[in-house]
Amino acid sequence: MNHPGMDGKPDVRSDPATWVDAHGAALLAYAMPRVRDQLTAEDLVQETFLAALKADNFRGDAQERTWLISILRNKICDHFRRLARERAQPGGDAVDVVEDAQFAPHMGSDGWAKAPGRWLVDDETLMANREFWEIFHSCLGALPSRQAAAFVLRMMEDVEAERVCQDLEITATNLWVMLHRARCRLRACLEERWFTS
Amino acid sequence: MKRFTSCKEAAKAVAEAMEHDLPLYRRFALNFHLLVCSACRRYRSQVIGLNRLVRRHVREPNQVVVELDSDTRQRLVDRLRQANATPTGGTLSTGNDHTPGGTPVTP
Repeated sequence: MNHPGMDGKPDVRSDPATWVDAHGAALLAYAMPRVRDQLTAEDLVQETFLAALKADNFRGDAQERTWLISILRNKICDHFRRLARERAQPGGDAVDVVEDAQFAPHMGSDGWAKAPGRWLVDDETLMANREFWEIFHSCLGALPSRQAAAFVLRMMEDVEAERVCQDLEITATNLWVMLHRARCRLRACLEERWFTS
Repeated sequence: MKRFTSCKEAAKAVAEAMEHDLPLYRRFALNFHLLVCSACRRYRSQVIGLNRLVRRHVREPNQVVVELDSDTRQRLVDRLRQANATPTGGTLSTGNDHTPGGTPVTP
């Protein structure tokens, strides 16, 4: 169905297929490494296009990629904030069973239950290995949602620590403890599913 | 042998040191622990490596091949067309595409 540009707007506005073809793949490629699954990424890309449309200066040229990415970035952050709030559990951040399971009392001190194994792969190999990143995303998806939110916002989106603390309603100490637990779990998950298999 | 810091505390200190500088005494305790504990040295280099990889991963999105397959493309286009068909953007179409925004055009 048509939506004729009666007010003289460029006709690119009338057909979303043009936006999708111009920027869809790039926006999806940006969203995918950050969110857990394809459908969520598509939702966020759609929200981005709609917000861009409302902003009323959508022209469909290549320069607005940057602008669209910045909208998408906000959508991704909102998504994780929402997720972290929805699943917030009072007192639920006090201990982490997976972190605890990494260590065992040994001669009066908490040593490694199982010492970290050797990872004999270099960065370049890992960067290019699609299967590694699929496992990484599966491990990221298995994190408790507040840990995942903290990790994505701080480590992937590079949001300032103070801002992440506000968003998740936690203290600075809580934040690095949460990041620590997220890394602990990711490392253990990768070691089990990638490096030793 | 009882070390200054347990491995559990050392791993935590590694994370804290990524966010801000540790006070001198704790930095000393961590460094001493790392000096004598190869497991924690390995842990530290793995999580630092992980940070580095993740940073590159999100900045080099082309590394992950995301193709807009025809299904995905069609899904996005359909949803956007539907949303675009409601001029005020207030409510999504309820499936009745022929009366956008309740302003039927009578010629």
